[in-house]
Amino acid sequence: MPASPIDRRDTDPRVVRLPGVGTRLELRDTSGKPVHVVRRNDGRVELHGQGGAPTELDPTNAHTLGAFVTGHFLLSPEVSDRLGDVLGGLVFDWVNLPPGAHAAGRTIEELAVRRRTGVTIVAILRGSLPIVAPDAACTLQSGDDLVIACRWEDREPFARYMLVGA
Amino acid sequence: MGRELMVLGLAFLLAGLLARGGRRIGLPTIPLFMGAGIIVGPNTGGPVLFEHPEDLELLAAFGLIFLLFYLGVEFSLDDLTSGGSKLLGSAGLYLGLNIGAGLVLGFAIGWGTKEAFVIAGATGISSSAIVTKLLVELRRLANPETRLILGIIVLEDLFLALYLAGLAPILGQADGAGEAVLLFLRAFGFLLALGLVARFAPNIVGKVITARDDELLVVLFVGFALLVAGAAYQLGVSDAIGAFMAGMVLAGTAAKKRIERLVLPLRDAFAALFFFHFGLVIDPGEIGKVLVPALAAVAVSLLLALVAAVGAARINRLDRLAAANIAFSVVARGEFALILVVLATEAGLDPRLAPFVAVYVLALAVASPLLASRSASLSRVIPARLFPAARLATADAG
Repeated sequence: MPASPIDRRDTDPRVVRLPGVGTRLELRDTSGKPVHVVRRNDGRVELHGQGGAPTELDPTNAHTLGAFVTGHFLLSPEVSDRLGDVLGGLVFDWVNLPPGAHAAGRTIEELAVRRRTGVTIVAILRGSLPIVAPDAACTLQSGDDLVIACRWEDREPFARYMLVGA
Repeated sequence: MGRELMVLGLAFLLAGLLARGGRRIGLPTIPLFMGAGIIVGPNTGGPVLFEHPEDLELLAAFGLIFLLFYLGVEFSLDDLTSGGSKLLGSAGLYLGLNIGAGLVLGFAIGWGTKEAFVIAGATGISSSAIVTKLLVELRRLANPETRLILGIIVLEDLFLALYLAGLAPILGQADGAGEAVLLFLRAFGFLLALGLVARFAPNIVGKVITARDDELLVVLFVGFALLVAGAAYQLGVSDAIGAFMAGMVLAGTAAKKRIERLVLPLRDAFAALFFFHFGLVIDPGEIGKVLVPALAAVAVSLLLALVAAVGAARINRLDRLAAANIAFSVVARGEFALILVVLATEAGLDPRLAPFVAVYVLALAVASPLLASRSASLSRVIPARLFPAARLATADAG
């Protein structure tokens, strides 16, 4: 059973790159014990849990597991394969704009979102109205949920920029 | 023509079959590819299928080029910096000890100053290929020390590129200090220029080396890699560094992940040929002369691996099992030692270097996985009190 990672105070999931091998996701289960998932460059996935040998899945079953767990069972392996080829891997996420957020009241063009953050706002959820592929003149409002497509590491800088403008 | 094709086909088959047999007992492929070459080469009794190893030289050079090209594409400075000072410290400790001891050993063996530097590099840098395979096969990817081991490997990769550049004047046979400095500057200038392109202008290159079809992308990046490697060679910098830098440049383009995936089969095929070809040119009759220094180097490397590993484990507050895991993984030697010695031989340095490195690499490439798979029991030899700050004991899960 892997020892607990060094110098961690929080219990947030952590993604560690294993150069030349793959990427490791470190989670904790409900009793606080570490659960590690390794996605290897050859497409196989290893699940490391409570001691003993890790469970290994081939790429197809790994995709199936991933899609099943997130509830998007319709995401086919071919699609996630192509997405995985994108530099750094692609994630979809959303950022909510609270009142007083830096981005509230400004247009996408004014904020120069793509240029400043490298992130694309693919849709805005406003009340019950989704605005898909908003154009540059669209003004963001407080209360908006901004749906983005970006690399994992770009989420935080984007959120910071939208909220406080830095 | 037909005969050449058959010879080449046989080369691959022999290397592959021998390596496959060895996998069953946990041996890595590198020493087995070399072994296949030794067995059927002109220097041993028995079947001689390759009277003229030099026929394979160009293709073997591709192995060297794609090995380093892949490293460059895969390389990310983040891997080094994200580990923090502990990672850099541990890697620096390992590298410093090994290169330092390698220099001492090299001068002690007394084949010459240039040769001493080659020996230092060959004994100081681990085999990334063997280490990464080892970690996967021993199911240690979730271990706390794995990230550290991989970080050490990454730093060594970078160090190798710089070391090869630094050796350019030595390997380039400069006449006098002035020309040596010129060669050195040319080598670093080349590295710097490509480094700047990699850092600040990869998109420009990315507009050329890109294609929607995988087939076209392969053709383009192979051309790019060979071109840059060849240019490096012409400039007196080894083609190996050229290939590494070409990889680094492409690592900044949008096609990076695709290139990483597409170059693997090429790399594996030609790398096998590289090791096989090395085996072909080794004369086992020369081994007697170099056996003592080679085994001394093996012993020194093993000892230093343990010392450095204990240090690295302490810095990172890991326990003795982690130290043992680290020691026996990173002691593996392979492709980089061979690359160095091939360049040295081309430059006309002492011919004893080749059998010396062959014995050294064969010994450690075999010893490392055997020791690493038993690190749990072997770790008991290390006193636990050396690790007062260890948080939790690593379980004996392989």
